[in-house]
Amino acid sequence: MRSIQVALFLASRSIFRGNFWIGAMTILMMILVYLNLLFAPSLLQGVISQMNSKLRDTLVGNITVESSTPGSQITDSTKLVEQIVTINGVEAVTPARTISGQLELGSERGTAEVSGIDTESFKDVFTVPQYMIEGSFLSAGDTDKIVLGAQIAGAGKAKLELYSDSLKNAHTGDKVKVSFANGAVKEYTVKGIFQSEFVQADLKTLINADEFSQVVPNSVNSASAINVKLKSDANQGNINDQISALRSDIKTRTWQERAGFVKSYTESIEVINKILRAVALFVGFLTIFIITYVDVVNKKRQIGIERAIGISPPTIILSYEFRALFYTLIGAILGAIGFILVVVPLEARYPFHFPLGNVYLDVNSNFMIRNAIILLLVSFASATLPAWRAVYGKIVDAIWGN
Amino acid sequence: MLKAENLKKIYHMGDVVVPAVNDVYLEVEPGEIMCIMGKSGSGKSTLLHILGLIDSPTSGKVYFKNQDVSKFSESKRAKIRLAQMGFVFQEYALLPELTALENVYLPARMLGRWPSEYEERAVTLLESIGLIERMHHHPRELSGGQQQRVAIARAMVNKPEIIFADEPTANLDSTSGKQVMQALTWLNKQFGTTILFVSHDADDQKYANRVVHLYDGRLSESAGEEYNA
Repeated sequence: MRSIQVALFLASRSIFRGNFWIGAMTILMMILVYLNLLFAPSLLQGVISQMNSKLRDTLVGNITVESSTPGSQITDSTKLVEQIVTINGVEAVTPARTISGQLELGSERGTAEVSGIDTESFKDVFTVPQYMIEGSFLSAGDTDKIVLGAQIAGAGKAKLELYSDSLKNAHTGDKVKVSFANGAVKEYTVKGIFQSEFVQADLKTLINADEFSQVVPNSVNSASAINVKLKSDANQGNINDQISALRSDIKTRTWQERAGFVKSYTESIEVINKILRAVALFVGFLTIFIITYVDVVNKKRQIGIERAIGISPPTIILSYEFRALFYTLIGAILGAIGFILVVVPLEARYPFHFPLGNVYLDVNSNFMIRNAIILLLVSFASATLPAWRAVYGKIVDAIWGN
Repeated sequence: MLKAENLKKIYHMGDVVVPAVNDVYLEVEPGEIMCIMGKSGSGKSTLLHILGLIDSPTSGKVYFKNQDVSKFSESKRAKIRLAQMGFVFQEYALLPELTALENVYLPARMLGRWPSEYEERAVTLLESIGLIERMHHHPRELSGGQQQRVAIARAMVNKPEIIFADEPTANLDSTSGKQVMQALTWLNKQFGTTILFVSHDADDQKYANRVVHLYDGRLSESAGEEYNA
């Protein structure tokens, strides 16, 4: 306790009566280290969050219900949808029938899954209608109308990832011939084109359920999949169990289970994230280490005198550790304020554009506090090494500055 | 109080062996003022550091209050230095970020005394050496003599039994040097504190009860005559 008090006394005097500019530059360095520790990881976390939310909001919902028999349809889907809607925590439910088909526009051909959707409930579950780049989304009464994802329409956008496999230049009002897998063939007018910037979603081709039942006559009251959107505070696991218990001939999968194709991306991003954090922490370690090292070299004689008059080595080391903790804490606090008040709003105003859309910094207080604590621990350790080395040398050498 | 037996301190400079302290026997009595005289490089500071437990001998023993302290761990030696010894170095060894008052009471804080107790004692000491008006000044704002007197007050704050002073007047003008030496002798008379100081200035001998001379690491009670080894 006595050592802690004296160490605090020495540290405080050194901080507040030492060279102002050295202290200010040290804090500035720690601000930058802390920002570095937050920025890249929160940006990459933003990519992961964007990927996951695009997956949920444009492709699978929170929970997908399918027939438990592979390749089969869910029968009596209307009743099942009604049952699911009544479950507490469910926000919206939409069924869909899907069949593969080949689309033709002039000499261009493309293959796509054609989904027959209930246009109203589809809008409640998915955000796809918000991404129209041409025309408009399907309405309940639409006949002979089709809505294409940008990756299948091409829409004259040669930079699209799958442009070469698309219809290349399909636009609103064009007539597209669809040859369904069951042999039916029908021509549709393109009502609109959407581009959610999530490749898998933008491969979708949508017609309304009535149209679908015309080309696949036995599709009424059946569904290839039912997608469920949950309220934000809902317990997904619990609702998943409740849906599974409704019928024995269905199986359910959460969006995380369906995220297999984005999982490799997110895992890679998480690895990059960890590497960047480790590098940022190492930079923080080196910063404090160098500052403390230079400080103890300059104060070698002072340390020797402190030891000669009976200040114990652990007390002297502790005073350097307190100093490092102070600079890091102030750096982290100012860095956090700057991050929240400047960096995040600035990035939100001028977001980074990734292939899956605008990405925003994904940061929360837990993440910031955790990183600040880790940085404090790292700075504590990095101050200890040079201080320990200086303090356990010979007192006489220190006094003579050797 | 303090006894050295067969003390040796040898430095190796490449292949050359330099005996800084060579077979020294010395006994310091309680309450005396002893001066170790010697030319520059004679080993007097090295001897003082060994006796003051801030350096270790290559061989030989140091007894402090009849205890062989030469093999004590650094932590034990630090405790003895803090509670029972005081140090005054040449070149005004004060901590620059502390005021005169803080410099004086720092060892008392380390010893765990109450703030009211150590502050009062530090103020009294500064008053007694004539620096009460400068107690809130930093070392850079004090003259060399004033800094050295602050160092003496610091050495006294824990009421040590012995003060070691390493050429306390070396960097001072004659007036300041005189004030410093008078402060040390005053402490000796006032509190009975044993003073052991080293000097190369023959004028300082007059402040000592006993003078020993060091030549090339060897000790003599009177200049240049008999060596004790």
